[in-house]
Amino acid sequence: MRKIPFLLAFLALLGLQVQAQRQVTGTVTNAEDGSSIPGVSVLVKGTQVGTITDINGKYSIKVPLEGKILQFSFVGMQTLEVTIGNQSVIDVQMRPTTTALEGVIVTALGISREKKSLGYAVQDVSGDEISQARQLNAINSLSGRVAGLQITSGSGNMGGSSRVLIRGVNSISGNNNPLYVIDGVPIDNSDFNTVNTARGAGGVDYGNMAQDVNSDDIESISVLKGPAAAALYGSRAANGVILITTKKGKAGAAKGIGVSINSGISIENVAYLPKYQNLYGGGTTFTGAGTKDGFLVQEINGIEYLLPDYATDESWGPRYNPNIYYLPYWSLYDWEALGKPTTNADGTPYRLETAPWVAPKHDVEDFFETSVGYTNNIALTSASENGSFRLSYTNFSSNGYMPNSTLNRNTFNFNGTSKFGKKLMAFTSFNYIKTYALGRPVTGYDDNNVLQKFTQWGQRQLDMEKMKNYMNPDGTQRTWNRRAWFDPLPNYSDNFYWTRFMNYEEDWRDRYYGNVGLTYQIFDWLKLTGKYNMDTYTFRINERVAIGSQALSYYQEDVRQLTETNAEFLLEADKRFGDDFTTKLTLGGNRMHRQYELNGGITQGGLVIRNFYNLRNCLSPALVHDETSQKSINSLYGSLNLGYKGLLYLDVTLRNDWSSTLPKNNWSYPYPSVTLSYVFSEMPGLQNQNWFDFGKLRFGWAEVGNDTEPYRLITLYENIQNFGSDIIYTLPGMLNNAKLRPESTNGWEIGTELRFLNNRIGLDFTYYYKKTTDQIFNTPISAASGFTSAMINAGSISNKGIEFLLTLTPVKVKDFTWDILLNFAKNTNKVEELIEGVETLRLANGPFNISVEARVGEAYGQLVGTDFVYDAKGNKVVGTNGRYLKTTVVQSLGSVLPDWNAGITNAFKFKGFDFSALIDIQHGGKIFSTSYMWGIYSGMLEETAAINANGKNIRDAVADGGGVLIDGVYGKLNADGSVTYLDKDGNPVDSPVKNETYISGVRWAADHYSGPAAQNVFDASYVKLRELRLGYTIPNRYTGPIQNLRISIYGRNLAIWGRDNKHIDPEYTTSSGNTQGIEGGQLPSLRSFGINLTCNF
Amino acid sequence: MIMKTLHKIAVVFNLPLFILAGCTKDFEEINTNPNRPIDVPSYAFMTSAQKQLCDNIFDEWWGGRQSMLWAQYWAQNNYTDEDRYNIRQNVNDGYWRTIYTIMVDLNEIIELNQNPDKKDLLSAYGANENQIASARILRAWVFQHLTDLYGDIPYFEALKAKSDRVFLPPYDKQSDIYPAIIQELTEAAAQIDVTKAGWTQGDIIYKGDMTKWKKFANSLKLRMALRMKKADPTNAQKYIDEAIAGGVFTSNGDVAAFKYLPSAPNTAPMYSAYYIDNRTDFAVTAQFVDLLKGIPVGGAQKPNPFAGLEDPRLPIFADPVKDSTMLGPGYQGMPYGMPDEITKAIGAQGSSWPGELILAPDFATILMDYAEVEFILSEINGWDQTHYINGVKASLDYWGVDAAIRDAFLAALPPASQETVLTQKYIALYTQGYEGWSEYRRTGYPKTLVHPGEVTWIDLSSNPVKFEALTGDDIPRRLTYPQEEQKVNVTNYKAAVAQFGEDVFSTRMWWDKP
Repeated sequence: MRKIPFLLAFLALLGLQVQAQRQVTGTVTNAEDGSSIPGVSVLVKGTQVGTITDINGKYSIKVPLEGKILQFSFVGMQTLEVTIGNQSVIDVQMRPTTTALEGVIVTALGISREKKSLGYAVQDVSGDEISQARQLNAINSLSGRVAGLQITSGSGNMGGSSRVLIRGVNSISGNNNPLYVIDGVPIDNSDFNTVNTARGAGGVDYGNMAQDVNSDDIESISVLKGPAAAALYGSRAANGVILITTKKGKAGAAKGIGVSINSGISIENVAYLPKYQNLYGGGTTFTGAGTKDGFLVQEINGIEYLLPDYATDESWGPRYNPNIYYLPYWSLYDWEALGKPTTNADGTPYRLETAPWVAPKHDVEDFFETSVGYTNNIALTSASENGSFRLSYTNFSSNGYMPNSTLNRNTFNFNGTSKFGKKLMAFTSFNYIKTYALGRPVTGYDDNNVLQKFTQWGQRQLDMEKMKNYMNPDGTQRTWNRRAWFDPLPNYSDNFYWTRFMNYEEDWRDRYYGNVGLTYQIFDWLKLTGKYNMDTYTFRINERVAIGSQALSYYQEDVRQLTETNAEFLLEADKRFGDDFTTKLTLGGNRMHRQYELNGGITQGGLVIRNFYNLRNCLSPALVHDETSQKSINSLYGSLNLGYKGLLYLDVTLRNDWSSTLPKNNWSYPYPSVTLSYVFSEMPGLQNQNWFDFGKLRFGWAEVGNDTEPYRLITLYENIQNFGSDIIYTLPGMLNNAKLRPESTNGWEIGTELRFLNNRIGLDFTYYYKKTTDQIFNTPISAASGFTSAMINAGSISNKGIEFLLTLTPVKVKDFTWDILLNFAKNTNKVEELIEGVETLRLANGPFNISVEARVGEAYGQLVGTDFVYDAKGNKVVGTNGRYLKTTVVQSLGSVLPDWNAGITNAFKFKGFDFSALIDIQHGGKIFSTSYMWGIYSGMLEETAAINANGKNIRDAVADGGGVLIDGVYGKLNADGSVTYLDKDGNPVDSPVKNETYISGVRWAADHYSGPAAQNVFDASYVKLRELRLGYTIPNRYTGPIQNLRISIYGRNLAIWGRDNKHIDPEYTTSSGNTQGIEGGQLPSLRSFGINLTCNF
Repeated sequence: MIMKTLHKIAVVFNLPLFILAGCTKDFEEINTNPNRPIDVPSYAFMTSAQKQLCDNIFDEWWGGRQSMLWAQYWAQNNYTDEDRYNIRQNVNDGYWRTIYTIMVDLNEIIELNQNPDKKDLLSAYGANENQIASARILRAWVFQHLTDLYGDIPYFEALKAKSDRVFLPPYDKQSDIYPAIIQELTEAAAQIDVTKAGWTQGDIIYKGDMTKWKKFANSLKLRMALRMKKADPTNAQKYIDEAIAGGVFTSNGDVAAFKYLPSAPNTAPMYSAYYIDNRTDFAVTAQFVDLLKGIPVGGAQKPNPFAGLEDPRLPIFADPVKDSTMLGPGYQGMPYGMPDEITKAIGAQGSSWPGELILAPDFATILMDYAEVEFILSEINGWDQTHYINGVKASLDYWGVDAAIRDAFLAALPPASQETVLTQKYIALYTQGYEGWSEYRRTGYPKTLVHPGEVTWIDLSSNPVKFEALTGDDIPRRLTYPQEEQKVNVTNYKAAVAQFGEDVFSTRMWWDKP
């Protein structure tokens, strides 16, 4: 067919290899099915000499003298390295990355290591796994794929936060997120969400900044889990490291330039909504004089109308009845727009339009739109002996699922190397990401979160088609929640469409990160690298509330600028002593500097001119935001790796940090690590066993120090907005501490890796223990001391757990393979101690009835609130009024941390087809649902119109057999916490009497707020069908100049099982920080489907 | 070659030292906070304390959902949980937290004005002793409120986190706190030198008029002395005599009040609640409106000591209803203590809102007024008629009642008696919910408050609606300690409860004798 251009390209490449000393040839085949693999990049390691395999998987390369190792890499296959030695023919078999278990892995400081030499657990995921079912936030794609990595995200937040924990929580009130490092550049992962957003009290979830990494540029991700793996990264790696390697230049097929394309379309829809009741309309059911059928009777222009309760944002109104015609809110606005006519042209009284009292035809689900996203990526790559580069451009654009929302992201990525002479090489990596978003949904208990208005407070009869008309001709609002029939102003709620089209936000982020450096090969065993890394972005946010909204109008504009630079050097010595010993010595130093600035403001007292959004458009001077902070850390580090016969490896590292955030006498702190790897399958006697392929034992121990935030040493006065011309300064609530010391995390782990039956069974097991002590945290103190909290060094948290990774290949025949990857992690967390005399530390207060706390002796992140009262037999106790009793003192109601997480991937390959399914499981953990609490309280949710044991609706009068009977026994709570049983009439009795007192549906519903908080706490377990993927790679023989043409379709978040509460998705977050587990106005989870097309030229 | 290699290695190994040598030098500068000043003029703390205090006493949360309810001046027209004593713990936590922490700004004034390095500079803003004395007086006012709310509270070891790192202060007995606060007031009044400069700026309450600060100290001492009279009559009388001798309020010009500004963001908190946050949740109670109307009070038709006499303050304290469907037209209070289902039907538009003046953006939050002093003088002089009339007159004048109407009303008033004096005092304390409630606890007046179990309203179908309390079975005698204290200051909290009595609404204050 068209072999000639390829051959020419191949020859052209060969022609470049002028310095080649000897020729090596071979064939690359797929270890799975024996088929040849074309397009594999073959590189002489440590040089720029490279080629690719031809259509038959054959290659030929001229290896320069210094060449020792051949590196074979190919998308979807794990990279392979082969020592050349004296061989002139090297045939290799490559394995797909889904079963990646062997080979080389990127470790701390970007140093590639043979995985078998490591004394700690590292797990890697190939870029393909991430880019095929692309997520806006690439990190979310790791969910369920890595043992010990727990990812919680809210898919409806449109670029919102992801809470990422590796092996649990270490720090009481500090940062528990892992460090993100891309090609050696530590990238910022700030979270600018407000405290209110995190605690579910409202605000936009802007997400954490690590979301800017582009899926299409990722070659692989290594997760360094424990302190031992991360010790070289220092303080910031105490919570583990997510190490991302981007794609590098490879020799292309034609004329040295390769082109690859990945294009996709994805559609997203709302997957789950709360289950609403559809029997009763909004407001109150009026009774008594002046009412009819539950409505108020009101005469307008001499005609009587039935008025619903416009002003109340609840749904305890009359039962739907198509024969009842009522006066809807929109009819009043129509009338008002006409100037409130009293008569028609013919003199007859003007009649307002009425409507039947029925469930809406267009309900909540019709409010949402289908989000369509387009992703297009094109990359150019090239490599020659003088250098290499890869230039990639990705565009993602999508309309959100909420009306009036869009998101657009452009990413440029460039990676290049250039050789000057034999010893000096320059390299650079550059990324530019430009993001624009409009109308990110507001989260939590917030007036501008439409979900709060759909679920927690609202009226059920509202029809979305009618709601779409949200503005009167004079620019004022048409809301269903009028104050009264004669008062059109919004009482509590804005029209949902007004919220989306008038009170939206916009944000822009321009981010650059990358590095530039030089590597100098001093000797063939000694290499010096100097590198300058930078990550900088400007993030601008505008928020607005329009004139005419329920809330006071405002405009806010904030510009944040963050720059982090890291200047570093690394000296690497690699030496072999005889045949048995290998040594590698690394010495390095780093200076980190980080600067953050916030400038902006918010209008005060309301906007003046309609639809004009500028900080000057307000009656009173705008409140100015002006904040700067900076921090430096200097570091020196070294590591020594010793290897013996490929059998035993010992690593020792030492690092010293100097942090500007600590007082002078404490700002320097060293910390070490030691790890050991024993590859016992290399022992004589175990070698060359048919059934046993590989076996290793590993052990690691490390200590990592940690510093704190800037400006924690001296307590300074805080400025509050002037009172007229009088300035105001106050002492802040937090007392700083001039004697802070660095905190320390100490941990060890032990693990094993085993492979059997020609690698068809693989097992990786780890047990770890770590403890963070002498923590720097802001402890609550009695406000009677004059301050609400104080910075101290105290307290400790421990985590212990197991991680388990199982790979199986149950079927492997010609043309068909079935792989299973199963990971499991169980972490047990315990807050060991806080400051003396303090048993609990509140991390956040929910907006209602709940707080999240660290409590001594319990797992971190306890939901704390009032509990049910139980008797000794575990029965719930009710009063003689039939209502739940609640504890007088707040109790721990369970930790937000799960008991265990697991992921199961099944992958099938049949000829050119591949199919995989990922199931993601979380077991345990608790969540408090504010949506449920108010949704029941307000009569919005299905349960509030349920049928009771008498066959009556619970809203029917108790006297008529309606109401709710709570399962419990009569009793009263004594001051000492004991329970005295009562009979129905309140007389003390010895044995429990079952409750038979019905309470009204409204009372039962309202008690979800005023009764025990535990009613609204749910188990957060779930089983999710996270991803299904089907791909087909068209054999190159059919595709002419196009290679590796692949079409794949995928679906994400397709199903959920095992929910404790049917109204919410237990996977919920509005923050990457420590405040978790308080759900409120949850944005709907989205289900996505997509199709991708990838190919190379 | 070897030398060259060694040189290379030397450069390489010196590099780190080279980098680090100069690098921690700038650490202290890097860690110097550029966002906050180190030195601040002391008046900025006085404005801070006054404003933050007033922001938290007559606002939506504390004023509206706590103290105005407990005194039954107001009722909520929707979501009546707090009316029925199911309080929001967050609000309780928040009140304790803010009120205590505000006081460290006052401490800062005192410490800086005693600091030999700083006091001379600060005397530019008013004589050192005058700055100190006014800070002490305001702090005494705060402590009086705290102890009257909760009973035993941290006092002697309180506010010492910064100076002595006392993070968890123990609770002191109210019987020890009362004399100590009075002692503070005595000392502070003595410390004032009216011949020297008062605050040059930043004193919103008195604009630096030290004579008025002195009167405030003595008036407050008088209030406290009267309040402890049942518990310790001997000392109480001594303090009363001292206070009067020292000089108490003599006119409305002496009233301690913090006047807000007419425009955002410095508008009065209650205005902000109604007109900025659109929280129109509060109505004047039927009990209070009926009392002012001079008609039998509430659903239980309790006798009105001012029967047949309409109080001219009614149109100032309340607005007419906008929707007369349920309660009728004109001034109609929301019956206190009803379940939400019923208040909703009446609605925010169907019951009287507080009057325009009460919700004015530049409302002056009252810390203590002149009328109260006259009522106290009437009481300690055996229900003295002159002081009684002076008290009512002071109140009518304060709220701007026309002189002719005022005089007619004063002339028609029934004579001074325990009931008339204390009921007029209750009316005059409107907007100071916590004081109205404290006086009810001390005296049992007014008799017009509705108690749990009593009928609060007769509805349109003539059904009696009762006040159903959600917690306890009577009007609370105190506020339970904040949950935050129960969690953070555990040991001291437990000791306090052991000493003071059960941490419930019904436990009485030391001064609250039946």
